[in-house]
Amino acid sequence: MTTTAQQHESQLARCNQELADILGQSPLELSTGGAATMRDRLWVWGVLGGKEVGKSTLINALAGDNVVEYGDPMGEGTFRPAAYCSPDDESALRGRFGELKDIDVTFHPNAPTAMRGLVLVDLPDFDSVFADHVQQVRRMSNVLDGIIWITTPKKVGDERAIREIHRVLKDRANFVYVLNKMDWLVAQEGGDPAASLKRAATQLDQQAQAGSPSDTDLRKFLIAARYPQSDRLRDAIISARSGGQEQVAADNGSIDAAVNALTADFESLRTALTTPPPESVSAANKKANLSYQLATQSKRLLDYYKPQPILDRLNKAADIDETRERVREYLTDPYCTQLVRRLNDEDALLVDWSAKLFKRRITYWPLLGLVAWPLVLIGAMFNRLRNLWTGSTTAGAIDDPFRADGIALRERMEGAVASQQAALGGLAIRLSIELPTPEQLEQTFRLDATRIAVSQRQATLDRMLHKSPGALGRFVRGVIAILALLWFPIIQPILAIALPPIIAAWSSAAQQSVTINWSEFATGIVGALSASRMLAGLLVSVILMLALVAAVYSRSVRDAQRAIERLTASPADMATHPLLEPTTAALNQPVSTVHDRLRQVIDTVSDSSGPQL
Amino acid sequence: MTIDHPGHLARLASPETLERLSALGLGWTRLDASACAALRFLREADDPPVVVGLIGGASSGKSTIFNSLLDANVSRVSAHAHETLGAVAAIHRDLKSRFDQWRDRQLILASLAINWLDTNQTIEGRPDELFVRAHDRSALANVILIDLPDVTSAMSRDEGAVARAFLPWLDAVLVVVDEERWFDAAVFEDVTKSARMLGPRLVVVFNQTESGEPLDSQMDRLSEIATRHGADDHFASPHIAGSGYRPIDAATADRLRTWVNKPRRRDRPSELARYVAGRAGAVLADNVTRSDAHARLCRQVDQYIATTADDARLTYDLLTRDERRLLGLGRKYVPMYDALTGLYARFSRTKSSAADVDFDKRCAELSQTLAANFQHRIGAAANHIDNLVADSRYGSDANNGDSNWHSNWPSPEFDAAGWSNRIRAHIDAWKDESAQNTRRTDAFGLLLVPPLLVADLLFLGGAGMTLWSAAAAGITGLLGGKTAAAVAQKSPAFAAYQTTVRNYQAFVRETLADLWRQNRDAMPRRHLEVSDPVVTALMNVSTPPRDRT
Repeated sequence: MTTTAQQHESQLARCNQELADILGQSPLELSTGGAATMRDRLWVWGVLGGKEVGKSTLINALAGDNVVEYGDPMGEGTFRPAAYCSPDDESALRGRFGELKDIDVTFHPNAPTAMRGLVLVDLPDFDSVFADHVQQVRRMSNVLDGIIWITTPKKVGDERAIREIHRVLKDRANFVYVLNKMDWLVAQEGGDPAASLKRAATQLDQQAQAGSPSDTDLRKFLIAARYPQSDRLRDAIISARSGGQEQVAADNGSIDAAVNALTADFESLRTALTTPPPESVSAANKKANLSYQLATQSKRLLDYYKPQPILDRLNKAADIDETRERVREYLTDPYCTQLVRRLNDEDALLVDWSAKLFKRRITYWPLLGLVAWPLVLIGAMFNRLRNLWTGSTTAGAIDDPFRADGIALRERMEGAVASQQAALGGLAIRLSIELPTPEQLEQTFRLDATRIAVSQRQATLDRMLHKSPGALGRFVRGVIAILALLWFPIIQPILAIALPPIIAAWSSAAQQSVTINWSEFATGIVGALSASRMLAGLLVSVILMLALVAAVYSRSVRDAQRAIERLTASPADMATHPLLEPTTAALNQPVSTVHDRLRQVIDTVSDSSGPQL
Repeated sequence: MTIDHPGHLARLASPETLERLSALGLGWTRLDASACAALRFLREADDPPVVVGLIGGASSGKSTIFNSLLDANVSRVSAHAHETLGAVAAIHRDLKSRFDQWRDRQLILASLAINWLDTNQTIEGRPDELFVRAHDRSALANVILIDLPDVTSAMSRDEGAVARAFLPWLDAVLVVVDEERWFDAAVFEDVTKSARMLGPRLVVVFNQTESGEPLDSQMDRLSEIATRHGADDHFASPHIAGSGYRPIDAATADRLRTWVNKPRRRDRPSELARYVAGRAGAVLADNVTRSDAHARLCRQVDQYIATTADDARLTYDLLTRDERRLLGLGRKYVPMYDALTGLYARFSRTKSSAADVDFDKRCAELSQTLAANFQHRIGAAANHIDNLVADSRYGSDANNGDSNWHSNWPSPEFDAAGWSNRIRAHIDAWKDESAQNTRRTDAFGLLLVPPLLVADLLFLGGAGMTLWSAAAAGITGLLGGKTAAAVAQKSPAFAAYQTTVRNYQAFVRETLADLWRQNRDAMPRRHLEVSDPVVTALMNVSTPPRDRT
């Protein structure tokens, strides 16, 4: 259980540091350390109050002995905590206070054995000009199990007290309100002491309510610690009222009643504070204290840093969809469409793609390359010359493709950053969230957009280039190409051999006689195979092949044109998503990092507000 | 030190100034205002009486001492804390008429309502009023004695502020402490420290409210405490036994009375003036920082508006590449090449002429785009300027860092149709120019091609057509090619278009500047103008004292 509590405490400390870090505030001074109370079985009451309200007097009165030396009223008073305990408990107590290294606690191990397990600690005041006193009180109060909050009729309304009570408050079962010096009040006021008592009780109630507003069942006591016995109290009141001159017999009855009430209160306070509680009860109370402390500390953290409204605003700014919407307002759909069109220079693309497509396709045709390559070389030369003469077709200075739709890219990026900043509403400065500058965004956008355009182009082109004909297609192409080249040299001798007999047969059928003139036949064959005939035949073949090449080229151009049309006509999926995403991510990332960190811390703190110990 | 115009002090002392300055958050407090009022009183009143105030913690015996000094039961005395709610004063009867005169001249405690008491009634006081009791004690003839509410209690926090606002008036402060508050932080650190800066005499009265050791034996210890807190003197008022109101020890009261009658410190006015000067200087410095921030912000916004307006374009960037090419815009002009390609284009099927584009339809589209772009520009500027305002932290309160004020950027009127018509006119001009150019290049081509053809047929048998053309185009291109800028410079249509663009930019600039001016005027002021009379008063008062005599 101790370790759980310690874990919770160190977690809170971490969260405190983290919150201070994120929100750029100075860290809150946390009051933790309650885990130390779990380590031993002691029950430690601390007597806490302003200067000269009778803290030491109360302890001496409870102990029935001058255990604590009275502070010098003209001096600092109790300037270091004094612990009153039974001798057996001293070592355990030293162990508990051991962690408060720079606080020097005086030990008075002379309490009776009946008080074993119970400790009373006299604390310095918190409202004097001695600044270290209040520090000691705050740090000590964390390792106490119960607090006796003591005040006087004069100080009961003090603003400092009400401020301090919130700092040291324990679970209500372990917090006791005491109004001391009631003898002085009764003596000062004169008249009916019952009325004085009632009024004082009301004032104490008011202060207690300021400490724990929802608490109706407060433990409060009106006492006169200097005179624990009723007869001495009565004597003191009467002698004070009479100015020490003569005994006043009047109002004895009402004074008696007041004295009895005060003594009774004191007795019940003594019983409450000097009887060691059963171990089960004290353990439960300690646990209650610890949960209360953790809950108040986490509440204090949230009150001090007020992170929730910041988180809400961050939440809105860090939402990726909302960021994208904001970016989209500036990188609009028509802009992206136009931009892609401008980036994909259609003229250049057509030339480039049709050439590439043609070069690839021509390889599927055997023999056609012989005719095509000189043409390709001439075309390339022509293109290069044309580019040389005309220069770039547009002047770069006024034709930035990123200026599509009439607004400069820088301005769009400025708008997007400004809109994100507006969504953050001043948090950017406070949380030092470093949004990318418009210049950076513009640069990355240019690179990204170009890269995206190139890759999209490349993908389309690759798709086209990778379409290759199957085996049958290649076979058919091969046959056609070979036929185009060789049909005449092959067919010519065949015709020379086959035609004359057929013609002769046809004519003999007409003349009723068939004679083959073999010399004519041989002459025909030789004639068919003669160089000039073959040359003419090859020329026809080349013309046929040129026609085939032209067909392949025109189909390549057509396909390239179609692909370009597809690329520019359907930019929707390409324009919105890949173009917007890097900018959106760059604007969103620094915000969502801070947001996630903050949310995590707040969740941890909220978890600590009701820990299961 | 002299302050030339006492009117300045009166201005600074007035509740209106306090309200204005605290609305601006410039840190001018009630204490500062009453310091000005008190300084004015010391300077202007003839023979001003000594003002003595009693301050201290709850139930420390302020009212008891007040009553004892007057020998009358005026202020309410009780053992219960915080009984005196407002201030109660005592003035000698002979002083009353002068006091009334000062009141008429608004010289003394002008912000409080005065309630004269003549009968021997006991009062608690009220926060916004001063109860004044006229008395006949010649020992206090030239003294105004004031009993102030306590400074420690939470339930009388406002009354604590009342006590604080009185501090500058006090020529002497009696700090009353009892045993429980001999070291009280609220009394000695919060109040006495600030009182000391105002130059009064400071006296600690150690009031013994509980019986105990006689204080006489402790006098050296008490004087040590008093010295530590910077007191000029200290008194011990021993415990008087009994109940209810008991005047303090007569001897102590007599000693206190003689002390109360002491004239004010000689350098008290200059101390007070020094304090006022310091405060006024601090407020002025803050004001200067803020007005600097404001000026810087305005400069930044003006710069931004200028840049964003210069970036505004009309048609050029809205036209597509094809359209621009058809209009002959922004292209390097190569006479021969253009002549040949122009001729080729004549006979080819491609969309060759600007006449083929439906510019009516395009202009309708353009006007929509223009309107959208204009709104976009205003929106982006609004966002940007909002962020500039947030960055400058001028419009926000330094304490909470957030501003309740948001700028308002209404959509201004935009004559999209008008601008679109103007663009249409320019496009027509371009079209005309482009047609002229085409005719010129066509004529050039027609003049050039026939001789080439003839030469080709004669010398190269028709095979050299391409070579000739290429050579001619290359030569003319190298000799006569012009850059787009040169073409644009020569083009009257383009020059006219540029004028329109400049007009449009001026329009955008003026619209933005106008909207910003409205917003700037609506932005909550957090500083005072230099010409403001309050600034004049602060400057006048903040001059440090040259001479302490």
